[in-house]
Amino acid sequence: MLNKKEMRYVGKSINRFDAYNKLTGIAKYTDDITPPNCWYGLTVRSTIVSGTIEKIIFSDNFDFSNITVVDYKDIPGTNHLKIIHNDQPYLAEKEIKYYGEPILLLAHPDKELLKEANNHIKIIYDEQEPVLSIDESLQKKSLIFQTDNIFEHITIKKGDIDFAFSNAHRIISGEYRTGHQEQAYLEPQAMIAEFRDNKLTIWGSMQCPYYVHNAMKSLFNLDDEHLRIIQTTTGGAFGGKEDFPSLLAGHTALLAYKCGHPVKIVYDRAEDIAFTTKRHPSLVNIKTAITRDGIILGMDIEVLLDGGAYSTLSPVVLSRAVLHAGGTYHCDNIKIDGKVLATNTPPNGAFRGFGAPQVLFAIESCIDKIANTLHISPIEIRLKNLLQQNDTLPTGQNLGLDVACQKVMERALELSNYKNKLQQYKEFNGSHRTKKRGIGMSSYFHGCGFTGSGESLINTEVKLRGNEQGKVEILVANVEMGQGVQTVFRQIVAEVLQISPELIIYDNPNTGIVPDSGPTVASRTTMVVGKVLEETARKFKDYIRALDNYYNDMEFSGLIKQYIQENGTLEVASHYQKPPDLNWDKKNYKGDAYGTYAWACDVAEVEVDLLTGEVKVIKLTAVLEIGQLINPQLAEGQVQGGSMQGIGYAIYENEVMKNGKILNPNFTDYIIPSAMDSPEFVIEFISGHYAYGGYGAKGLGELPMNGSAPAVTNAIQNACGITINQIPVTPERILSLIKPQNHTRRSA
Amino acid sequence: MIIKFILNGTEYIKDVNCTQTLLDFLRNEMRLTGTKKGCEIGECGACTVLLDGKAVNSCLVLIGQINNREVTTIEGIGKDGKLHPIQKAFIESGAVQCGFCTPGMIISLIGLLNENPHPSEDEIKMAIEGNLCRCTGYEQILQAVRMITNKQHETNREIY
Repeated sequence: MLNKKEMRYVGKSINRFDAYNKLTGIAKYTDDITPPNCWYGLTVRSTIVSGTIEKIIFSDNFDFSNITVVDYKDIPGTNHLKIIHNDQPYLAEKEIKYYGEPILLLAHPDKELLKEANNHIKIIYDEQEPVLSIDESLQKKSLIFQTDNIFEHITIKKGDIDFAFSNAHRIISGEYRTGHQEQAYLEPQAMIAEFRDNKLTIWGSMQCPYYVHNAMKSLFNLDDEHLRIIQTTTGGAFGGKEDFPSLLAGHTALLAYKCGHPVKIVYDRAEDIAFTTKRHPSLVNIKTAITRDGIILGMDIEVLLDGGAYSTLSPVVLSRAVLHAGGTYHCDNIKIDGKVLATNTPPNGAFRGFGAPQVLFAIESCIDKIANTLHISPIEIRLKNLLQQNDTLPTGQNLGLDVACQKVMERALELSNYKNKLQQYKEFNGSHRTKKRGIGMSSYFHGCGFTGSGESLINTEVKLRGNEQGKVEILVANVEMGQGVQTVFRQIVAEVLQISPELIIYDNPNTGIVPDSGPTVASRTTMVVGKVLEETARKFKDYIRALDNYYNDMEFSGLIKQYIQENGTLEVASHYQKPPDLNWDKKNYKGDAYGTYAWACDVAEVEVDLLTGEVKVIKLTAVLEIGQLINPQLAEGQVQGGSMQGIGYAIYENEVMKNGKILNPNFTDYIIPSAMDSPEFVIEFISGHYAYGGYGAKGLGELPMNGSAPAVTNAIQNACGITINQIPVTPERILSLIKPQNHTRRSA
Repeated sequence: MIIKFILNGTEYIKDVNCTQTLLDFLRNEMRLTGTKKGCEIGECGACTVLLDGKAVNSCLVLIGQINNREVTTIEGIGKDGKLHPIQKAFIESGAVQCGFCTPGMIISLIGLLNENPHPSEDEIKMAIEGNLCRCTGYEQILQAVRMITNKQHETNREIY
């Protein structure tokens, strides 16, 4: 129910709780911590792309006696990273599936000596022909995974596409490709491990302490009591610290186990970019059946993702990709067929958006193509086909009233002054020979939280504890990684308890203390965990009988202290409750894929330099519906940051992979946006409310990553009359698209 | 080699291994971990410090180069626990997210404000062009600078 009462903390832009320590250099990130007698670790990696290890030779010219060397035989438990298929070893035993695959681990107190040691290890391989692309994987050039190289295959069907295509007035198709994208968190991957008294403690930069916890359990055959995973201040993650830290924690812990000292591994930037997980490259084929009136009668969509050498989270990434592939459009007859394939490249994994940015680039490009082909405007084609109330998605999920795509689009068009700008830029282009301006849009959405029944499987548990100082401690496994959860969660609890957020403690999670409230992923934290936290806070209030709101902080603290005096401890826990009307049939991909969707529309304005091919994004207008805003300033920060990553995805970030090796593992050649590239941002949220989200919040984090890339490429198309089927569209690609048509180009 | 330098207001004479960078020296020997290591090739700006009042990438400075010079790190910003106006503005505008770029960003902006208390939008952007931030999209950082440069009309210059 909507809370009619004026709220004190929710919906307010209160300042971040973690800002002071970060601004003054006090905050300790993993590499800022060096335990006494700490050793350093180094990973010895394969120098071939595909093949088998024949022999490992330690040179006689180097004294290895003081170096701790770990290989797969040192693993006390299972040599398989516990994720989904469990196909990835911590350390290669015989088979090598990608360039840079970990084979050995070295530890020593002197980092420089480790590099020298590495130079004295020679590995003899028997090389095999690698599989380097989606096409080669489909053709089964070699078999990397099971019998068909397919990590996962999902099909969604609704209606009758044969009927649609045989009754179509026009059939319009497009083939769209996207490249790798690097999370490029500013803090590289970092981990510290220590074994003491048979107990393993890990400190590290991570999103999901319990993923690491469970991975270590099976790696070392440890029980929960002998294991603590402690998140340290995390310098950005964006999905890159979802699955990968389990591998790095394993490596660090194996060294600590063998050498008997605390061990720290911090990747340098080159190692981080070259060998950690990235966004899946994609190939999306869309075929649409269009009626005479411009209505989409049918869609036949094929989604192919390049998973890399091991499956990691790829099956779930594909799931999100196929569930978003139809975009924000109503379509009665649709088939979406998706596969994620194995290749001999570094494994791809989670990255903000998680499969959705690829398919939304494809569908939003295709929608503009349909408009161009039919000679109608990008607005008109969308207005004719956008999802409306009570429409169903490809899985048959009825959206009920929870649809805002037309509302956000209309507001974005108004705010950006789209129609006038379109005219202005036309005039500008008429009077400028080498600079062209354009405007483009994208309509997009994001399914919030885990897919379907995922949240029931996680079974989030949240605790609140009253302590002897009369303060309230939030005990959850979700981490602050820059997105602002330390502030947002305090706001939620403060609102329920009607106390100052300063009275609430929320430390970085330690799995020895906090319950498993699930991973910090999937735009689920504020919505799903926030809701459980809200419920827990209500219970907490009942426990201490703070029955009315007429108390101040001191009186509230008094109630906590009194309760503890009388009862010993004060701890309140709650679990996730599945919304009663949420039904998902995973086997047939039917039903309610997500509890709710967040909706948005971007309008991008660009200037293209025809001489250099450079694109400048002048302005980005975004209108979003994300349910109840908890902290508007933090929400804006998420939208600006996510949109900027989308701009990078569209025009700058080009990971060059040749023969299975990344050629540009550095910020000199892999370009992420700088301050010079930041556009003017206009951001507005329209009101919304999700009954099963924390104070009515929906998911936000990933949404803004989904839409800016196609808005920018559609604007570039509008500026210079080219067709873009592939991102990133670097200056070189823009020039090659412009050149062939130079002699025929109309004055746009 | 023996070098003499001022670090965050204190004078030091030290025998140092001259093959190390200023960044490693600060982090490993002086235990000043507020200066971050993000790329080690001068691209990300997380390691920015002030050298004689000018912002530089400490990963590109060899330790010998600070002989007879003055270095200021994030730990040396703000007096008696008081935040510098730009730090306060960062809090107000929401310019901090993961915080890893933040110390370097603050130092670059202080370097700018030392020389130019009323920078234009382009001058601000140029001053932090070498400080990569992956979280914010830069807008709230720019807002923070606008907040104080619009406020401070009379010279409110603080030299560190």
